[in-house]
Amino acid sequence: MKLFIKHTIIAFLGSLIFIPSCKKDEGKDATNPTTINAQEQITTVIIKGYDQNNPSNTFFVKWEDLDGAGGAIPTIDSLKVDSGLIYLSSILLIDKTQTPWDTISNEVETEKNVHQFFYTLSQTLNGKAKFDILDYDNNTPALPVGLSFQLNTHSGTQYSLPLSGSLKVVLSHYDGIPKTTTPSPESDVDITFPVVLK
Amino acid sequence: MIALCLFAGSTFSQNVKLLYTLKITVKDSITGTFLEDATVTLTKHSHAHLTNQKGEAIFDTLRAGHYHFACTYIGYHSYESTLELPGQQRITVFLCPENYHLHETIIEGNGNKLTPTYSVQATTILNQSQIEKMRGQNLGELLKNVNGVTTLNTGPGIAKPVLRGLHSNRLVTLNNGVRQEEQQWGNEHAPAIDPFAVNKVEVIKGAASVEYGPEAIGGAIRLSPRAYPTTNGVEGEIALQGFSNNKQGSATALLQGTHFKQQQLSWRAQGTLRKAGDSRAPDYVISNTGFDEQNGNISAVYTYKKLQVEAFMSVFNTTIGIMRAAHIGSLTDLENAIQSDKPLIIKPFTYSIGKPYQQVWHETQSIRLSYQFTALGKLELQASRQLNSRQEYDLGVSWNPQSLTHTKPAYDLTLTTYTYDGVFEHKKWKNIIGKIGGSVMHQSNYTDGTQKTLIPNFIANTYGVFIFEKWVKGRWSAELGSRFDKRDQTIYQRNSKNEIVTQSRNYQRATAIVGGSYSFTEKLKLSSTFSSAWRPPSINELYSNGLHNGTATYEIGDSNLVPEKSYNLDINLKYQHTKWVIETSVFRNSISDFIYQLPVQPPTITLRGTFPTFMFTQTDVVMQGAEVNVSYSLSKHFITTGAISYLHADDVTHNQPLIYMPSNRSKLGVQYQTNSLWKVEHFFAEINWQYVAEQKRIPTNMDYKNPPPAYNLFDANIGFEIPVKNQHIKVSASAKNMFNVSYRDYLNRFRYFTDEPGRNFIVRLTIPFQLFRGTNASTNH
Repeated sequence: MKLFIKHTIIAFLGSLIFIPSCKKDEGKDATNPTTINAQEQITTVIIKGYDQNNPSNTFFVKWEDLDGAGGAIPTIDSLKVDSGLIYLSSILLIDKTQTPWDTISNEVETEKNVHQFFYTLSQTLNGKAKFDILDYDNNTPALPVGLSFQLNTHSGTQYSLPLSGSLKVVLSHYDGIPKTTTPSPESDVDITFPVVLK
Repeated sequence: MIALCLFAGSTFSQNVKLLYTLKITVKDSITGTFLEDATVTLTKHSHAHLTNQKGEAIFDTLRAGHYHFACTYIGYHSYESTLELPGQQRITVFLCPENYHLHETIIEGNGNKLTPTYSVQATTILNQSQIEKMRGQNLGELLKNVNGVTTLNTGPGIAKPVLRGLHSNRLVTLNNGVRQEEQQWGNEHAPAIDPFAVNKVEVIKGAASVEYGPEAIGGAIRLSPRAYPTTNGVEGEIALQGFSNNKQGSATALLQGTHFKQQQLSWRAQGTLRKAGDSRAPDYVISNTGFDEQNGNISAVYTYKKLQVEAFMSVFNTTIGIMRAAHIGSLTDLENAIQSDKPLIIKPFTYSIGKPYQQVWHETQSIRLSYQFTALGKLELQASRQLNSRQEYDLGVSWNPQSLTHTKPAYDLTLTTYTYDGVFEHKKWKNIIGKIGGSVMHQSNYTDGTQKTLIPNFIANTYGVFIFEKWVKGRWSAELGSRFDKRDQTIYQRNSKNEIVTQSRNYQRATAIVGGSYSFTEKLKLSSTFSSAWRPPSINELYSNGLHNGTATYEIGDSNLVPEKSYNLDINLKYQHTKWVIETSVFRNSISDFIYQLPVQPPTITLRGTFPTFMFTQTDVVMQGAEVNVSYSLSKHFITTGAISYLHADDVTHNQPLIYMPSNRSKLGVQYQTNSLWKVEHFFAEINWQYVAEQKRIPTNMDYKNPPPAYNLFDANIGFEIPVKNQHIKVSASAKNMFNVSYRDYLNRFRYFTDEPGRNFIVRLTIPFQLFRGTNASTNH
């Protein structure tokens, strides 16, 4: 009996060594790396607008970084607008790594209750131009979204033209925290365009 | 049993009286014959007895308590250990003849022995009783109790050991004899080791490549499991802990046994659960810092005559939250987060772990065989396999809840490692002992995930051979060792056309150690070593190219980096007198081609702002410092301890301090202990004060925020044992950060965002039990 127990224990413990491991690395051949899956990302930000009194007077600027962070540096257009006008404007976010291109701004529209764009002009343009957001979300009370807006370059004070500065565009998202009218701690977009007021 | 040099077998007696009789029997480990006239001393109590012709030394009228004892006999290696009364009233000590075997230091207990550290290099050991006082914490926090070790933290839950300023790929960790291989290059990648499975810690300070291979630039950490039971039977232990700060609960259950006489079989099985919610700083909850961990290990050792075989398997599985407010997407977010004096995202306490989080699985299988050749020496062979699977989940894109970025990990890294080691310890020849060995390591990494690759796939093979000889005569000892290692590494990547491109790198280097020691008296010993080590560049240093969340930096690797070379001089002085123990270590570690990150221009412009850009580059550094440990017995019951560690690290090429070096610190403690107090035994109470200085030595313009100010922490521990039948139920409690101080530590990567955790009350309960006892309980060999 004792011998039996002894051999059973030895056989049991011996067999433990050969238990196949719980996790496998099979199918993970290091010499055959996975194909590059283009992750969902924003490659291109476009802001366009037209003079509400003269729709043929338009602007179109693009911030684009097709290879994502790092690598080739992004191409950034300058935003050139006339002073004393009101431009009806919108912003577009596009993922050009997808085929066909994915319009991320449509998804932001769907998720507008937890997103907001913030447009901030540099000091030199303070009081000379402003952004008035036109679209609102479904929160109660409704809060601004910023996919469409008025770029108002009308100002009562006198200044000499052209005037240059910059525009910072931040897309905040409110994840797990209530949306407010101030930027969240988490930004999806944080880019800057040069601006010239003609 | 012959494979063991010597060990102590202890037995239990059911005496429950105030005074005890202790019988120590001394035998020859090879022949098993009794040794007459061997000296057995109970050092603390100045008892010394010679053994009779039955090899026995008998001590009467001893009180309950812990005793330190030593056995010496001419021509044999001496043996020192501790025992406990009641409990270990009969002990058999096997002394090993000097002309037969090599070891000077022997790890006590039964089971397959890991080859001990040979060198006289500075080594600090944490033993079981010290570790038990700190049970329940992660491995990094445990190692922090060694003077000279600090931690590199990522929030409250992730801690990596830092030894004399060096960490990650600059340290080698041996877990139960197997070189731990995970994605250790990552600052936020904590060691995937079950802290409950560790019963002994040895920290070897300074360059140690000869014994531990490449990467041991800063030293090595050896972790040993519990010893197998020395007496036949089956026993076990259940340990439970509760932590107030993060409402952590942890439990471990252990079962182990020893059977048979001639063909002895010992085994052990252990399972651990640890679960914690969010940690709290004194003023707020540090959101998303909980963890959920399950670990287990089983092992068995079979001994037959001169052969011993041990098989070991372990699994570590954890899900660990990364503090939400530290997940930085853009530079503006970082600036805002740093400006705020508290985290920008604070939620109510929860156990649930949200994104971002890490999911880590680490499994190890090893088999070790040792054979004692009567005439030649001892051969040890070991083979192991490790699989490390690490998934890091990111927040996912905010505009599309259905996106794959929400369901798939951003990084999914699978690292498989096979190691093969062989060591031959030759028999003592004249006054020389020594060993010779070789090792092979094969490693492959597979990278997946939704983010741009952090590190590429790679296959690496490392080969090493070494020899280490030590001469001992009288008060003198001298040692000499050398090693040669070679690493061949090839990466596999896809380019923009989806073609596979490869790049190979070969690194090789010889290292050496020379050292010696001299004992002026029995109380005063001086030792010194000069050793070298090297480290090939790690995979991220060579190839990383991307945005690093959390630090908000863009990191660029350099595939032309050359290995780091380290030369370490260590001088140690140890003084032991009746009431005093003073240990001093001074060191100078100079590392050439030290790899670090240098800010480069221009910064990287991305959709999420303009990020500072760092490139891996090399420089020469010198790290100098000292550690002092002092303990003084005020009386029979009171002991005071003090420790100081000092580090001065410079980039000598650029003549400026090195970044991210731990600040200097000191510790002072008072302990009260008594063998019996009221109805409990082994009562202890202690209070410790730690002072951590501000790190004032930093390079300019390399960091977002200056190092935090100095801080003082007070901890208290109390514990005792309740005798129940033959067992002792252990109860202990701790208060960490007793005064609920708000502080930040320079080496916490999240010090930009949050304070460290506040006050933490810990209670621990350990219940040992015996299922049945073998028939041959008196001796087992």
